[in-house]
Amino acid sequence: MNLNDLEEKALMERIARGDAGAFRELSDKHLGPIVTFATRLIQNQAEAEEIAQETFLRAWQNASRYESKAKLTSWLHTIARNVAIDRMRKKSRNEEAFEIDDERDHAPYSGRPSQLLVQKQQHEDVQDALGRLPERQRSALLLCHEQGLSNPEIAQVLETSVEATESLLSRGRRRLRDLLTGQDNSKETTDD
Amino acid sequence: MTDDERFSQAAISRLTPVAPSANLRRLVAQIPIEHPHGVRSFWPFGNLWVPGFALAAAALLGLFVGSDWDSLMDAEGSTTSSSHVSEDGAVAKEAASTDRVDSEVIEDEDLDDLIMMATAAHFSPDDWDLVMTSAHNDLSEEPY
Repeated sequence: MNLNDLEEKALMERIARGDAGAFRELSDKHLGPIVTFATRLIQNQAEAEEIAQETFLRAWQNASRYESKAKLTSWLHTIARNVAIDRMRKKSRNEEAFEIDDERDHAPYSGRPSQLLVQKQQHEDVQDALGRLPERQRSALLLCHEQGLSNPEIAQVLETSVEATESLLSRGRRRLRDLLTGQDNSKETTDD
Repeated sequence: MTDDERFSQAAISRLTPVAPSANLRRLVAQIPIEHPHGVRSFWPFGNLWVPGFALAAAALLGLFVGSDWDSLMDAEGSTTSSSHVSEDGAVAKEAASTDRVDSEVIEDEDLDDLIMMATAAHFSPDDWDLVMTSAHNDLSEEPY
């Protein structure tokens, strides 16, 4: 356990005792990344903010259950992802608009990449492509390339093995590239 | 690093981080206030100083009410005022003397009854001596 881990453990112990100042330290450091992660996952900033709020509420209420064997950022991302998945499930039940079932996520990319790159901002293209990935692949890519988590940490968040995480990342990267370069043939049918 | 990895890294790095709104920051900052946990979550008296002040107020009230209570009881002539109760020995001695007085009263009443009976029966002086002797013998016996 390194110094950072000890500091995180001490911080969470203070929060567990009801220290509002410690909670402020936590939110100052992690609120931005959690909002970003939730926004990418659910593709809606207003909802992402609700997810972030719920995440920090759960972190506050369950601080005593935090185990230092998981990094604090992994723990928070796990909570955020679970909250986001709950919301997506509820929403897909109501509107069938959100795809969290990987087996159903195989719609071909409709636009031609060259036209899209011209017509849309790159930001939107990437966001759109990410939105077309299965949830686990999308989460793995975001946690790796945007949130900077290591493979073991991503495995903790996704509650899977490191090998499965590497496989998810590999397939996610390939699919993202296919989507953004217009080579998506939608042959990949499984997420794990 | 593979080509796919480099491509994904470059693509995702184009995304700009999402800044939390001021409203979200405010809502998150309020979480410890709106959802207290630990001891405070079931502490019904708010601030920890509140019960301390309540105890101090009760003690002050006790000082005033306590003195009024004593004077009230003294005015009613109670035999169990606090000054008497504090001296257990004195109370016991007083109780013993009260019992002795009561027994003397009973003996006098018995003698009065005997005198009335003797007068009614027209006893002679000799008979009177006999009655008094037997009366003393009866009173000296242990009670049942």
